[in-house]
Amino acid sequence: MPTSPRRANSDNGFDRTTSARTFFCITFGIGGGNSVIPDQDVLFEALGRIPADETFAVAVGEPQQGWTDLTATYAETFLRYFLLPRRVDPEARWIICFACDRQAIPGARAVWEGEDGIAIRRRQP
Amino acid sequence: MSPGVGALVALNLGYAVMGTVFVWAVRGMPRWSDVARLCGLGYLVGVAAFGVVWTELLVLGVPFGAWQVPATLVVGTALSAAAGAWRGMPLPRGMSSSPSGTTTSLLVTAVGVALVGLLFEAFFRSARLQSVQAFDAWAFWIPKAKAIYFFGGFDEQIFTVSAGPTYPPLLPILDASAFHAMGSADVVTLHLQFWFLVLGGTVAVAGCLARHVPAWALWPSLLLVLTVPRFGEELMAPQADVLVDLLFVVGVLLLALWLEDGRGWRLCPVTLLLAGAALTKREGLLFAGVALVVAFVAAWPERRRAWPPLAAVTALVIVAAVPWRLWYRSHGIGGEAPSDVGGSGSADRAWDALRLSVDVLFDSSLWSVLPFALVLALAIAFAWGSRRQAAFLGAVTALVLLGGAWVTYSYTDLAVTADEALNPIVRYTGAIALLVAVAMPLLLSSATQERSS
Repeated sequence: MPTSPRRANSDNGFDRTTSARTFFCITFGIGGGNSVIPDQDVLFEALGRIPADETFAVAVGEPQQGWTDLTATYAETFLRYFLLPRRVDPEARWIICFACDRQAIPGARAVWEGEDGIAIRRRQP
Repeated sequence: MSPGVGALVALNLGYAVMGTVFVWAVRGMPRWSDVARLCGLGYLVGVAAFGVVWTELLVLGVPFGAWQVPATLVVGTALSAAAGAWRGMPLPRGMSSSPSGTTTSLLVTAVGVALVGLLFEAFFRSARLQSVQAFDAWAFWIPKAKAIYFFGGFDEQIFTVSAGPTYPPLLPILDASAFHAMGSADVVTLHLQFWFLVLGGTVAVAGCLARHVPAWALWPSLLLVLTVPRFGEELMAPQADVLVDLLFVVGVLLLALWLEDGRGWRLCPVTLLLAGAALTKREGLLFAGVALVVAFVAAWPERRRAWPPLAAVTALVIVAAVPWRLWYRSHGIGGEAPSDVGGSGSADRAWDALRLSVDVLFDSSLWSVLPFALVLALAIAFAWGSRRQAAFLGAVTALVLLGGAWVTYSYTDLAVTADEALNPIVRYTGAIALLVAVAMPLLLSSATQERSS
């Protein structure tokens, strides 16, 4: 079980009292994301790492082997729904990267890396 | 019961109380049995009134927060109570003096209530642990609801960038209220809000029909509608389709009864229900237009008496529907009108669109025998029952069907297919399927009443 659900407990809306219950609810909360986001750990990690009052960007590169047909097209739509109240902003400090071009976001450091080219990067202030 | 579920129960009780007091204020309820019978209608009216009022307030920029939800319900209830008191409506007293109907009809009612209750118990367990799977739900319905919940209004980014930016906001407002009641944006427990809507709609149909049709016509029709394959899959999906259908269908039912007995109070809830439908989905405006146009035509023989109040209803529905349209136009979002309103499209596409609508309606894997039962009931009513009621309900059904074909024809970006990812015709046709729940009992009972008289 990823550690993020416990951290996510405080600000993601699934404010349950135990981590097990939180994990259960977040897993159900993913719902349609099962067919969009190949490595769903990124959802938990993003909930836990990106503060609720911050913004994030989604950068999508070439489709990878583990992706579904929907990943490249709908990853941003799903993340916009899932991560609210965090808003989308192309200039955001936090970047959720789907095999994105690292050269295009210089100075952004990976704070978490998962499978299928998915990572969370943060621009240095 | 978890706190979230308890809070949802309280919220929906609040809708029911506010709407039922409104119905008491316009109709009067001499006995508590009337309250029990009409509380479902009251619930739907409460939901519609809450959504319509908050749509207008959010357009004006009034912030939507946690305390505004109970405050609205309390103020709405108090205003309705004051109006009822001012009109001299007596408070309900006692239950019905004696049970109406024969032993057989009481038995059928008891069995019907028990079976519908069992069904809703199963629906509850299913809704309690559902995840958000439908694309439209996570692409825009719930993001809009979360935006209202988190940011207190029509957040420009979410409301203008999400898919379906012209879709009206009544459902997201109800969802946001549920989030406030639960204390979090819990999209799993949110499904129970849809369970309450379906339950309220069912009680509304049963309660409104109970005095007008025999039990043998009412309960089998309701059970048949609730158990068709399509509803088993989609009834609790957190989208606006079922809500707009319920508001429309109960509005049509009240109009049908009004055409029969001319009791003016029915037009007050009709106004709120159709205004609610127009602010729930884009086709809600089409449904409201169909219901009112057909009512105007059906009321032709009594036009001097019937048309002025119908015109007032129409005007109020339009007044309620306009501000949201002004809001999105003022934010640079294109109109909800189709790309080709008609005329310049090809005849082939028009024919294909019509055929698609008919094919979807008569697809027994979706709606079981409902459309066949409706056609049969219409034929029986035309032959032996109330031709006026049959003409009204038949015309509403036919125009809604043609409306679906027109949607496919005129939105040229829609493929002519029943694939739900490419064309909403299956969800749209749910309105006709739900209409059967009110049409069949009315039509069949009119035939038996005419024959017995």
